[in-house]
Parts: sequence; structure tokens; C-alpha cells
Amino acid sequence: MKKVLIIDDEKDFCFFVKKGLEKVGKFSVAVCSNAKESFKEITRFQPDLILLDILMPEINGSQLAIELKKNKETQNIPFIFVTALISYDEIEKAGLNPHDHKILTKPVRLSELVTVINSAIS
Amino acid sequence: MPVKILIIDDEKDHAFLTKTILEQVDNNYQADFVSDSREGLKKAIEERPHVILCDYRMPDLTGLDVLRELRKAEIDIPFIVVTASGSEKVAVDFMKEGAYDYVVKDVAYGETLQAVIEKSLDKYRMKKDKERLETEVSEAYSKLKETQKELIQSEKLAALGTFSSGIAHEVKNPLAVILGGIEFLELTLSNASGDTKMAMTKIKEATLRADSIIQGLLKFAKPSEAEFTLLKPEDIINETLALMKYRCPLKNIEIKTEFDQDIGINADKNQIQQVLFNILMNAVESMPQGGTITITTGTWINDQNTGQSSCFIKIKDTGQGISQDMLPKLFEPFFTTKRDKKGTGLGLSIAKTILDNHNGNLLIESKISKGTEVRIILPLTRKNKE
Ligand SMILES: Nc1ncnc2c1ncn2[C@@H]1O[C@H](COP(=O)(O)OP(=O)(O)OP(=O)(O)O)[C@@H](O)[C@H]1O
Ligand SMILES: [Mg+2]
Repeated sequence: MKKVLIIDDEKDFCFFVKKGLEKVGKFSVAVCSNAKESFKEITRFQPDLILLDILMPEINGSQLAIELKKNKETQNIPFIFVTALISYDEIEKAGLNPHDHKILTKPVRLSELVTVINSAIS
Repeated sequence: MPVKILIIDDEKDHAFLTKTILEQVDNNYQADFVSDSREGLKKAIEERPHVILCDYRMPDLTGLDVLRELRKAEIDIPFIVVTASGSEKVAVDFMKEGAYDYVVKDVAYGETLQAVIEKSLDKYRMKKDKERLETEVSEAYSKLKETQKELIQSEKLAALGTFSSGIAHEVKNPLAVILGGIEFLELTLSNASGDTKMAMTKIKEATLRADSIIQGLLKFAKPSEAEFTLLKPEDIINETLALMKYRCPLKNIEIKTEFDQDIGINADKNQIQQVLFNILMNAVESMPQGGTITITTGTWINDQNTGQSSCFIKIKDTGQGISQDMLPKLFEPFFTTKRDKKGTGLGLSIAKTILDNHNGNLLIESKISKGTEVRIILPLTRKNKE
């Protein structure tokens, strides 16, 4: 079973997405609502893919993505941004080149999420 | 410049005398006389003298009739009535009807004449100056109002831009929770009753609609910086049509295109695609029973002197049309007649904002139950003939 880790500070969103992905996508899903603990969680859970929010308190998603890329253990884990930011300049302001990444905007349909995850890990 | 004076007087001798006096007192005066009042009126209308000296008692048209006819024709020429001495009451009647002044046929006639004429000419000039000033002031005022309105609008938009990207983020997060929650319920309540399922569908639709309002609002209030490249309109149109067919099946809708192949425009591809998409979707939505959409491109020269030209993209549908009283509201954000069908009322506002940023325009003509014609106007960059 493929493993998906959701890193997002919006706990309710994480809960529903987890349930949906488990049921429809048949993934094994873990949630991390505190970005600071995400590395611990990645090491423990060993996900095949990470869903990453961009605007979070403490550490934002773009910083986290840079850290993931730096670290040997995590650099090959694909990640998808799932964010409420919608304009490119805001995404750039958060420190990312929007053309380099897969970015889904909230609210996102479960079916779309499943399709995108499957194509990213296959 | 000579001052042309028309004398209307049925007494030829007196008329001639007046002419002689006038030409003596000022060699700038060019006097002409007519003894038939009807002919005098005709001459006044055709030749527009600077001053009219008119006798008051004449057969056929009296002096007062001549004055009234001129007023009726809205011709403002300083009109001086010549009265017999002792008939000041007549003079008053004339002044009431708009005569500039009067002069009495008496011993001092020769001397007063020039003064009266000059006074009337001054009065005329002052009146014209005042009128011109008034129109200038009122034009300046309406321009000021217009500018003020634009200023308020642009300030509002700037504030709206910052504000809306802020709230977009704050609203989209809870929307994501609601959509997630509903989809979760759909999964867990798969055996629910028809009503429950319908309720879930409605909530889901409303959530997605709220989301598209937020997105539309941002596009409208904070349009992204345009990236201009040289484009061929038919390429963008074809791409947009492909995108549309992918998004929704075009049932019973025939699309005809007629492209002027040689046009190049300087525009932002994504934004123009957005404009086309919004307009084409409106056309499709206006024809639920099917119909024809005709897309034509072409050019015209706006200004013969500079040779400055425009390109147009005309999108015509055979749909239900728009009533005349709605036409002025179409570009207002959130104006929609499709609230029940998830319309946000932002489609045309966004299109208009984008085209304004391209120095273009959006024109709409429509006839109820005949159809609608939307014209996108953009500055023409290149027209190849090879
Ligand atoms: N081609 C058309 N035929 C008939 N009515 C039209 C047409 N285009 C626009 N309208 C009218 O203008 C209104 C505003 O259009 P606009 O595209 O701005 O918003 P909308 O279509 O209602 O919503 P949205 O674009 O978000 O779906 C529509 O609701 C409709 O009444
Ligand atoms: Mg529309």
C-alpha cells in the first residue's frame, strides 16, 4: 500500500482528506499538523509522497520543500503543494517558482487529488 | 472684418437713407436693404448678417413676425427695431420678444444709430462669451466628475485587490474543509436517502460556487501582470475552443469560424484566452436548446491619418439575447441572471478589465430571442499581406 503524508496546519482538512484518500485512493495516510515535527514524522512513516501546505505558522511549505530536497533521505520523495494561495505572485512571494512544482489549490476535489497522487507515484 | 448689416424696411427711401448714413458713420459697415419683409427674413436666414435693422410696421410680415420667425429658427442675430417716435411701447414689446435694442426714427436717428448698433454687437459678443464659458465650465465639470469616478473606482480596486487576496486565502481554507467534509459524508453515507444525497450534492455545488466567486473576484480585483507576446487571434481562438469542448460537451451547438489569417496582436495569451472563454461560455449558456456561434476576426483602420488600426474578434450567438435595460449592467461585477446555475456574474467584468489593460474594448449588442454579438477590440500590431 502506498503511503501518503499530509503536512497541513488545518486539522479538519487533514482529517477529511485522510479519510477520503484511505477509502477512495486505498492509500495508507498519516497526518502531521505541526510543520516542525514533519521531519520526525517523515523518518518514522517513510511516505511515498507528501502533500504539503504552503502557508503554515512557524515553517512554511516552501522552506520545508527546500529542506526536503537538501536531505539525502528525503530528496527523492515527491511532493505536491495543496494550498489556498491562488495567484502565482503569492506563490513566488512564499519562495517558490510556481512552474517547478505541482500545485493544487484548495478546495480540491478528492477525485482530482487521487488522480494527481497516482500519477506522481506511478 | 466688415460688419454686415441687413436693413428690412418697406419704405425704400428710408431704407436707402439708413444705408447711406451707416456707410458714412463707419466705413466698416456694409449695409444691404430689402423692402419686402418676407424676403428680408429669407435673406437673414441665408446670409446671417451681423446685425438686423428692422422696421416694425410693414405689410405681410411685421417686424415682430420677422423677429419671432428668427427666434423660432433659433437664429440669434442682434435685432434692432426701428420705431416711430412716441411708440416706446412697441419697443418694449420687441425687447420682450428678444430684440437687442430699438432706435427711434427722429432727428437724432443718424447719430444714435451707430451707438445702438455697437451696443447690440457688444451685447451679442458678451452673450456668446458667456455661453461658451458656460459650456466650457459644464464640460470641465463633467470631466472632473468622470475623473473623480475613475479615481474612486481605481482606488477601490487597488484596495479590493489587496483585501481580496487576503480573504481568498482565509476563505479557501474553510471551503476546503467543507468540501472535504461533504465528500467524506458522501463516502460514508452511500446508503442515505435520496433527500440526504441531494442535500449533499447541493452543499458541494454551493461550495464550488463560492470557490469560483473567490477566484473570479481575484482575477477581477487583482489581475496578474500581463505578459505581452505576438499572437495570432485564430490560434488562441482554436485553443480556447478545444479547452471548452474538453470542459463541457457542446450539445447541438455549431461553431462557425471565419478568420482573417494575416492578423498579429500583442497580447497576454492566458488573459485573452480567459476573455474568449468567458464570452464563449456565455454564448453557449444562452443557447440551452442549441444554436450557432459564429466567430469572425478582422481589422479596420481607426484613423486614416495615422493609419492606426484595430483588430476585432466578433462572437455571435443565436441565443436568448439580452434586454436593453440590462445592457448597461453587464460589466458590473456580480451582475448575473444565472445565480441558480452557478453564475458568479464576473465573467464579463473580468473580460472588460483584461481588455482595458490591453488598450482594447468590449462591445455588446443584443436582441431578445435573436441573439447577442460581442466584439472584442484590440490594437492591431501586424498585418501581413505576404
Ligand atoms: N451571450 C449572451 N447571451 C445572453 N445573455 C448574456 C450573454 N452574455 C452575457 N449575458 C448576460 O450577462 C450576464 C453577466 O454575464 P457574466 O459572464 O459577467 O456573468 P455570468 O455568465 O452570469 O456568470 P459566470 O460568467 O461567472 O458564469 C449573464 O448573467 C447574462 O444574463
Ligand atoms: Mg459568464
